[in-house]
Amino acid sequence: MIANMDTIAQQLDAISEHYLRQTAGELDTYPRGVTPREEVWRAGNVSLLRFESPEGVEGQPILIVPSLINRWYVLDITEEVSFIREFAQKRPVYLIDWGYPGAEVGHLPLSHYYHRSIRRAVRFMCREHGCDKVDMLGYCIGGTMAYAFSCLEPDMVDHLVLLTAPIDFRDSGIFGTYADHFPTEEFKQSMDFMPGWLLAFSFNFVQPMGTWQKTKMFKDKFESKGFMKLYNAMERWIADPVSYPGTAYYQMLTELYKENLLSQGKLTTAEGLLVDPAARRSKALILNAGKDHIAPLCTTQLPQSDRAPVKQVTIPSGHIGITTGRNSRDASKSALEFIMN
Amino acid sequence: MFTMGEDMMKQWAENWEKLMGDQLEKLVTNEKFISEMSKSIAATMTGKAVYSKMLDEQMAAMNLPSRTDIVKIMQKLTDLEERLVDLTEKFEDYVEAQNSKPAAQAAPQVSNHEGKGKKHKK
Repeated sequence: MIANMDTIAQQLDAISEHYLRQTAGELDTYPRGVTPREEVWRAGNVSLLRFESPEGVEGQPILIVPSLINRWYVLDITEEVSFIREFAQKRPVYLIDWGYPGAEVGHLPLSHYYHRSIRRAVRFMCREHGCDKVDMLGYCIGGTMAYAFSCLEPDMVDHLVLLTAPIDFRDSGIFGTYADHFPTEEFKQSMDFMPGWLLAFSFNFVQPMGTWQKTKMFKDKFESKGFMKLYNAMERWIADPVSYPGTAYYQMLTELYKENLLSQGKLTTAEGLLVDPAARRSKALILNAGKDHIAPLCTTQLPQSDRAPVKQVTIPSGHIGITTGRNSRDASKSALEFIMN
Repeated sequence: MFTMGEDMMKQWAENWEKLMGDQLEKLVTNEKFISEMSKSIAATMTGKAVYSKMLDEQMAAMNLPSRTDIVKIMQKLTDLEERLVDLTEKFEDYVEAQNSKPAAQAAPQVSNHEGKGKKHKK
């Protein structure tokens, strides 16, 4: 009897392993981004991608600055919900791919990313298109970096779209609380980077019922091909975590989350340049999500010292949903309309 | 009868989900819990730092490079690459500025330069 049970258990084990491997294999074949692209420039981990546009698409190029915390292709996840695809129909589109940072860039400051890297990308685009400024869209922490860049180099940015970008960290919700308690000094002493799997775990942690709700949704909708395409593409993206460079992570927690220096106009680059919101001149669109638990609405507001023209559109969705959910089309349309006018 | 049982199961599952959701939500937003968890992360990180230091010392005693040494070299290489990119950009900008100078401005400069050269020859 026990031997039989053991055999059944072994068989079940073999079957589940077979299906898990098959699923993992299928996920691995999913593309990382669906719009055709080429790498036009690279320095270390950071590269600049140019996306294919239809023949005759010209005008001021758009630079997309994705988050450093995850992979960029959440903005190009399927043909049906893709900011990049939508933008590329109207303008030349470039994106900074932060790559997979490791210990070799653990010493680089946050300003290396929000100033030096973005400036290099803008410089390349301006030389390529014969212009002196670009339009920019920053997503999540990428938006924070795009904002900091537009303060540092006001002449290089024309339109700036801040897609669920935290700027004022005074009341930054659950992540603010975590940042306040996070042992930053111990981290600085012991780690070259914040491991991607730990970051992914912390995101799951703040939504403890997330996996359960996802499973329930899967059960209800798995027969729909459209749903399964997006679901698998999202799972592919979730299973592709990236590590955060150590010094940059330390500075993000201390200078942004704990001390809120950006909003107060006290943030400085590693070279000692002041990131002054009062210096910013580009037209800005705050495109935030009403149910965002990562960048709550109040964190997306610009500082009072920032006198440049600003518009705001709130989409009824969550932080990720705004890029991949059913309202993502509205979000990308709002962004495009703002840039084109 | 079957439908009633199914409804009851559904109701039970919904209640369970709500109860669990509320309890877990309370837990992950509880400052005391977050603080204790952070202390545990801090202890792990301190332990890692001590362990790394011990390993470094042992490797050094054997005249072998440790992970820390290799990371330092990798970071130096990153710095060199960054410097090289900066210099390349500066050089490109300089060449561009030289090429875009109007011919009228460029011509006297050439003659001045030639003049200086001649002086030098003398």
